[in-house]
Amino acid sequence: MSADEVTEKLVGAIRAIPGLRPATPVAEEATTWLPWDWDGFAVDLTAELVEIRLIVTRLPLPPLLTRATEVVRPLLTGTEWEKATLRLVVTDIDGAAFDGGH
Amino acid sequence: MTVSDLTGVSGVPEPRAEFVIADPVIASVAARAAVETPGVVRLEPGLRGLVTAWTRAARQRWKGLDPAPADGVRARRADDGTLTVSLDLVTSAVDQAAAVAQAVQRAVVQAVAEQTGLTVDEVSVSILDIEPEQW
Repeated sequence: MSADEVTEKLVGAIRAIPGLRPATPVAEEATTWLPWDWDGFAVDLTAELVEIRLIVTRLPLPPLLTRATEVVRPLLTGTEWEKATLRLVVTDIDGAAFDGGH
Repeated sequence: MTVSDLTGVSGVPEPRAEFVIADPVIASVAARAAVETPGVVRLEPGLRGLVTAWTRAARQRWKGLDPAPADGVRARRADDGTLTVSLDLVTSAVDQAAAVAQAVQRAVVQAVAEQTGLTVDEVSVSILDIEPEQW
């Protein structure tokens, strides 16, 4: 599986978790007209490290990050990143998280 | 940035997983806990804090997020791993300032632990002003 394919799967998996979204530099609705792989900004793949940058829209964080680990790790199985360290980086928080989240 | 590890259990070697929580996220959680503490009138960002808050709010709007203010709050992880949260705030003249500061310290430690799973080693509260009672 190519890096682009893995990135696409990882981003899709993160989007499916309520309370998390990939940390793209701009809002999704503002980028649909731009032919650019914005999702790629949220994921870095190297031989030793898979880093996914996240924005949280709900609290608390620990169960969300545990869930993300459970969802993401199987997607790396059978790829060249299977043994890489998985790093989830919470870069920002939505203000709505304090009011019950989106 | 603050890192916590999630490694394999029961001695079975597994690929490592680690969580990193950016300082502004911790600061936002601490700020919310502080402003909800009785006796706190508001957080006081100061001039440099205002610039930081403005750029962060603009960045959050660009990302399509509702603002999560952290004005007047700074979270820092030292080289030795110590997590420090510093807050600048204004208290009400109705309440005893030292008691409010202690309540803020407790609230911040508890909120950060509950919401992020991180342990705050030090909470530094600076009371920049005491607001007179409103008639």
